[in-house]
Amino acid sequence: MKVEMGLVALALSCLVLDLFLPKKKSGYILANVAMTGVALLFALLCFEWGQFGHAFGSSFVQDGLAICFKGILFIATFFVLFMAREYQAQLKRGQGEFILLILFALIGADFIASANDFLLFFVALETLSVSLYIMTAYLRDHESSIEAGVKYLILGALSTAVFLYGLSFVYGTTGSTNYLEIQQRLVSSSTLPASFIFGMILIIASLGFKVSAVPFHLWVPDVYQGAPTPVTAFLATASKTAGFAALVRLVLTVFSPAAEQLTLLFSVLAALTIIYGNLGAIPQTNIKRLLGYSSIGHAGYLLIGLAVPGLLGKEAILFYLLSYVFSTACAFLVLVALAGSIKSDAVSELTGLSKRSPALAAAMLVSLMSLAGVPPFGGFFAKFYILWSCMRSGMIWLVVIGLLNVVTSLYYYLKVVKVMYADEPAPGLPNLEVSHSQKAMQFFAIAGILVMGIFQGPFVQVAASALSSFLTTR
Amino acid sequence: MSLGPVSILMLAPALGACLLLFVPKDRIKLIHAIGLIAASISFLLSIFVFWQYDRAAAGYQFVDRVEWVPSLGIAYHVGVDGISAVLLLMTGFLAFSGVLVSMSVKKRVKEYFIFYLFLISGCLGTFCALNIFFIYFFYETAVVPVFPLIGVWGSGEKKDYATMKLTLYLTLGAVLALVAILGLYFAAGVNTFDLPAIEQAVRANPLPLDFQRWAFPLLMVGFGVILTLWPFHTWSPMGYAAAPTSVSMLHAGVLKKLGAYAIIRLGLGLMPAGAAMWMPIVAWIAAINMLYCGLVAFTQKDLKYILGYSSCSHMGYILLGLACMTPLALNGTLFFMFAHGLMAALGFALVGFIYDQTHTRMLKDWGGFGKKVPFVSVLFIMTAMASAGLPGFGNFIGEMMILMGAWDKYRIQAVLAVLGLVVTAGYMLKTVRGTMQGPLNPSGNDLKDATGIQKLPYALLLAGLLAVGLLPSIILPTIETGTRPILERISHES
Repeated sequence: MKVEMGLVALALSCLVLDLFLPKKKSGYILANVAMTGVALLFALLCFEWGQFGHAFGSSFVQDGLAICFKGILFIATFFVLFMAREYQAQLKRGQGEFILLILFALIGADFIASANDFLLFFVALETLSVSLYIMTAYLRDHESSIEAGVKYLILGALSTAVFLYGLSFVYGTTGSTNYLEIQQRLVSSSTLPASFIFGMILIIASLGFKVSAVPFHLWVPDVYQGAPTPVTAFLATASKTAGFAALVRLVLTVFSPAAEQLTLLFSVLAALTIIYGNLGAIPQTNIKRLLGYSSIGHAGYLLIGLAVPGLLGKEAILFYLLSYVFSTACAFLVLVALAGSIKSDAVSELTGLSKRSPALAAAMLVSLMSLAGVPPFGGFFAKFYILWSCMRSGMIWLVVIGLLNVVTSLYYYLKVVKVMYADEPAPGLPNLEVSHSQKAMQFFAIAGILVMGIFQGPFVQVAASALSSFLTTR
Repeated sequence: MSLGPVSILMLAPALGACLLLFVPKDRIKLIHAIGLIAASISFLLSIFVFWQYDRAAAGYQFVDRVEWVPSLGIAYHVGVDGISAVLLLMTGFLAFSGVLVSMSVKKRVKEYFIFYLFLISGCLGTFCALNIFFIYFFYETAVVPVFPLIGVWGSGEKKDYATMKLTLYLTLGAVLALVAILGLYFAAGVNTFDLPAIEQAVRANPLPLDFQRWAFPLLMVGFGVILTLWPFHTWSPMGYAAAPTSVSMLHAGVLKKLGAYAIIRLGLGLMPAGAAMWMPIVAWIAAINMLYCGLVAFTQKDLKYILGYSSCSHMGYILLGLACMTPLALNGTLFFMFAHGLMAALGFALVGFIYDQTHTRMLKDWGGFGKKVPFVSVLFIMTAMASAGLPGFGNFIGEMMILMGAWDKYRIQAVLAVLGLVVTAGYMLKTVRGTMQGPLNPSGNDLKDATGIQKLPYALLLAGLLAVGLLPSIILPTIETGTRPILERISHES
């Protein structure tokens, strides 16, 4: 709980601090304060390992699983805060509040990872979503940003409604909103009520919206393209992580009596999501849209982890998410660094980037190759791990779909690499200066990708003990 | 934990590449020096490992083992047996001469060397890894850096298309093979990717026949793509034509052999029953490879296309040798792999040398160059003769062993293979006549012959080729120690 209290205190003190700061510099200063705070809280979080237990009448749970997801969320938010700091000029107004909104969204995501009760979960989910609605439409001068915000709001509200509708069935069937209680009641009854299955599917549909699983993905390309780049990064990393944190816990507790149906449901969703995301990315010419489609594809691989019965798939999800966060953040860091000097987000704007700025091009290369699953980067082992666990459960067809789409994804990522490396920049374009702090962040992200890709052992071990602590904490 | 020579020889190029990241890009001399030192370490250590390999004891030697991901049965496990020792030696030769040839690259030297050294590390790693996970890991690491290497430093109109095609074909093959590898892990039932452990388990109880039946073709096609198994060979001539010289050298010389190596290790070695089931088909494909690609080479007008198709056609001998699954043919295959690696690299290096000066590779623009560049032209003629299977060169020994091995099992294909040799001799003689002999083509007026250190890589490769051709016993006994356990498992399961 210390971390959560610290986080709320950090957000509130930033809120107060914002009042006393000069308008022009508030965003920059607050971003620094928030980054420091998040980094310290991350350290605190690491020390909470081992102090597992429940709070608020077991509606809040702190176990290894929650801590791992929170760690990933903190890392993702740390990157996003830095991006927001570098993105001040594009935001034009309300820079201070922008940082606050990111912190509030993190609070929501953090509580989702620990929620052990549907009511707490719902409040946390809305905290995250409402902050994101505002942030998505933050560029008030841009029609595309407004459009993205409205789209996200409407579909988000719809998914909230679907969630509540589903929850009402689950509550109606079992008479409780607490995950563990629901699970116990279902286990003790001999058959699984159809109304519960119905409610479960609705809840999964609404979370499918959050993690952008097909067929609930329609908002993704437009919102990713229209939203300010740091917000896109947050949607792609932290928001997706929160969605999977919720799904993993639900699948392991409330939904676990329906394991067979879940395997079928998630494996079909995973296959559709992988195929759609990767094929959809092929014709894209806007880099943010391309990353949007690719993030759909990655959601598909993560869903495989949910489809695999047992704990192994969930361990693989933890590994995958962390490596995905590093890789995606690395790509968005480059886009933010470029934001001031490129006219649009078209892939062609990256032409000859390796000549204009070797550092940024190399970062993009590493990030895209990791996303494509090329060794020695983290994305390779992430895919390997998740497909290995899938093969273990005997779903060869899903492994084949996953692997064939590695080739598809390599195609559209390599197209970007080709533009950056093989093509010549337009004459007269100046070389890009990259600040030291930007380089340091890029270096951090690349180091994360490489360490995860080469020294996988410790991460796998942490993931395994996270899952085993989940079993012992309840 | 102390790293043995095999780890060092494999990691040296990668470390060199990492070091290069911190070198300013205009310090060309320093970049060359680092690249050359890294490659020399690999080269010298590969000779050392080959020399010190104890043939009497056989088995895996120079083993380094560190637990990596214990829960998945992944360990950093490297070492050499007779097969790896010989192939590492070949890679060492090619890496060293490849880096020497790379010095003629003028554009963006630093990035070129970084990618090139990673490529070398990937190749070396695949040959010495004793954990199937790491075999795949290094294999993929070797396949992908080729994309920027050809995309940025390559030439020709179709460069972009060729690069993408090459990378996607090879990755597609790799993922097909990965399906089989993941299946293998669970079929072997020992919960480890460790190769010696799985080999031991397979010796005790062979893998289920059902599994072998579907997994072997996946492996064969998956790794066969890089071995230019017909009809998946089209990426190769096109890719080599686009690639810069030193990349074609390594690709034709080493990367193709990665596929054959993986098929021998994982396919023949672990799934002999499945292999026996599918190999008759492979033997026919081998015949198609030899004849079809040879005939296509006849019609080509671009020298690199001729060499590209020629190398596809030579892969037919490797495929035929693999298909036989007999001691003579399998040893011959590995011998041929060694010889062909040196020969293919030498061919591409020589063509690249002249292309750098004439900027054309069209057969019609070449002619009579023997007058201008006697050294290079003599070497080129010797390469062509080696390629056509002239006794004295390593290729001849390999081809003879394969053909004699195939005679009992696949007589028709063996006859076709001999015909393929005639075709090879035909287009090679035609090429030699059109390029080095006859009246001097004006495009060669300003040609300068190789001088000083430029001669070193060519001389080195040719010396290797002649040495094994005249004294096969340099490498043959080592190969035999490596293939023996595989052949034992083959005869055990049949």
